[in-house]
Amino acid sequence: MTLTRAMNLARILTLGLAFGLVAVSLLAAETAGPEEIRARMKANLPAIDKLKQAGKVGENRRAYLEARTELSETEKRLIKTENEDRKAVYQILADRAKATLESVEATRAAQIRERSASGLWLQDPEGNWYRKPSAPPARSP
Amino acid sequence: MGMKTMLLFLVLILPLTGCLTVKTDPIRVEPIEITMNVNLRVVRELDAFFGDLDAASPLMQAPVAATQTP
Repeated sequence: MTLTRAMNLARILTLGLAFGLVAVSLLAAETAGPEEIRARMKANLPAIDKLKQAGKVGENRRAYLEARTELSETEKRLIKTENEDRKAVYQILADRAKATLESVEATRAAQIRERSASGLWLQDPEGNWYRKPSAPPARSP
Repeated sequence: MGMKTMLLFLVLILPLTGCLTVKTDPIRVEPIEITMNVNLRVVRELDAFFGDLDAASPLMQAPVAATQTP
């Protein structure tokens, strides 16, 4: 009788410990620090650049990636991860700068429009998609 | 006669009352300053985080040095 009770208690404790471990690992995954996110973004950068250069994805007016053509499942997963990372970063930066998430997104989108190479898909603040034109040649005096 | 004096007094006083209501101009400047400070902080934070990433991408120009200074 006592042995059965002890075994039940051990089972409950083991189950509790397992649930606790799962919960902690999920929480850790949710609250990845900015450096961890930056490292992942840097690792994903070549693949994302490839998609951007191929015209498969563009940068929208809220500074997230958006598909411009049909994407494979792997490509969709990559875009989803990148956008989740970006959102987490924008929120961290908004908290640091005491600004809203929307203002950080809009400011980053403006930076991306300004800094992007020609030929890439971009969305203007009004929501219109366009390919960035090549810079006009410098005029000689 | 008393009425005319009163009218004259009113005519002289009325333009002066307009001068008493001009004191709200500096208040309108503050929100603009706050917005500018917040925008500068946002740009600084964005450049601090994405500066390396933008520099590492051949499809992006690196941020201008002036915006990276604290």
